[in-house]
Amino acid sequence: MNEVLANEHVTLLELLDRLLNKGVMIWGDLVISVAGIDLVYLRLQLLLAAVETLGRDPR
Amino acid sequence: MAYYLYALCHKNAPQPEPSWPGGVASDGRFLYIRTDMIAGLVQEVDLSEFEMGVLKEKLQRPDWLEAKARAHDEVIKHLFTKVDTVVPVRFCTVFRTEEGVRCLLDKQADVILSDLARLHASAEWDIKLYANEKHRLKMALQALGEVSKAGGGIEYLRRKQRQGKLVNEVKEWIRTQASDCYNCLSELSREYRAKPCLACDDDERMALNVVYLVARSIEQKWLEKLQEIARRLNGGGMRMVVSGPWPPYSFVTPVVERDEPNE
Repeated sequence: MNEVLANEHVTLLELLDRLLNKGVMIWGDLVISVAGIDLVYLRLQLLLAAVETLGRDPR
Repeated sequence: MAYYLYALCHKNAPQPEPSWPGGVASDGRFLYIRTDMIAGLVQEVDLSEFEMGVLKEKLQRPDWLEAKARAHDEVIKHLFTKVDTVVPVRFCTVFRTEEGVRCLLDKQADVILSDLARLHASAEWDIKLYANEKHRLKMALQALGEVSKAGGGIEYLRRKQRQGKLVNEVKEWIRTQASDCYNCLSELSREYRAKPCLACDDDERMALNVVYLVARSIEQKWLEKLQEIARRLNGGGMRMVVSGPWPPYSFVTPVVERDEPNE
């Protein structure tokens, strides 16, 4: 009934949540690409918002 | 030619070897761009694939996005087996020149070094608890011998009253299990972040969704604690899903440089 997920079984959504929403976000004139994926952030946020229910603080 | 930045680490990181994963550009050379204290792991990529307009179009293609996301993650995870501390950089961070990367490392050295110290030899673990209230309630009813629907009148009303009380007890039991899990894992971790619980299918709901930063030196103890919790929950209408160890994506300082044209 309990699972430990191997890396290859981690869902794409979990992975994208980390890659697109976490990690060092670098803005600046020297960076040419990262600002261009705002659209993806937005889309992913909408997707997550659609499936999320507000979590109760378990404390 | 452009430079795709994967992660930051201390300057003494070992040189990339041919056995490394292919990365987002399978034929691109890996190298470190180093300053006095910090190294940035980059891969040489074709600028035409990562320039803004092209990237926007490619990001609409799920197959491209998944392949590149997994490739990005593989490289950082591989680096994490070679060095004790990594600061992951966000997907598709691309610089036009090596000097651009070096300039970033120099300008933001304090923030990056602070993250490297805070994340020292630590990994991220994702812990989710799922609860099946119906299953738990059925167990509780069976324990009380209340599965039968026979009887009417006052007995029916009393049974409904008892079942209503049981439903509340089941919800409270689930809350307690989630809270206990959250607290005991928090004590073992260096940092933690609660995330929103996501919707599930009809029979299950997510009761806990937390990401923990755990020192690698206590990983064995951490795993034993997870097994202990899993054993406690097993068969009781709750299950735990664990993923990790991840590079500490969720614990880095999110923004290290902003466009400030007026400065």
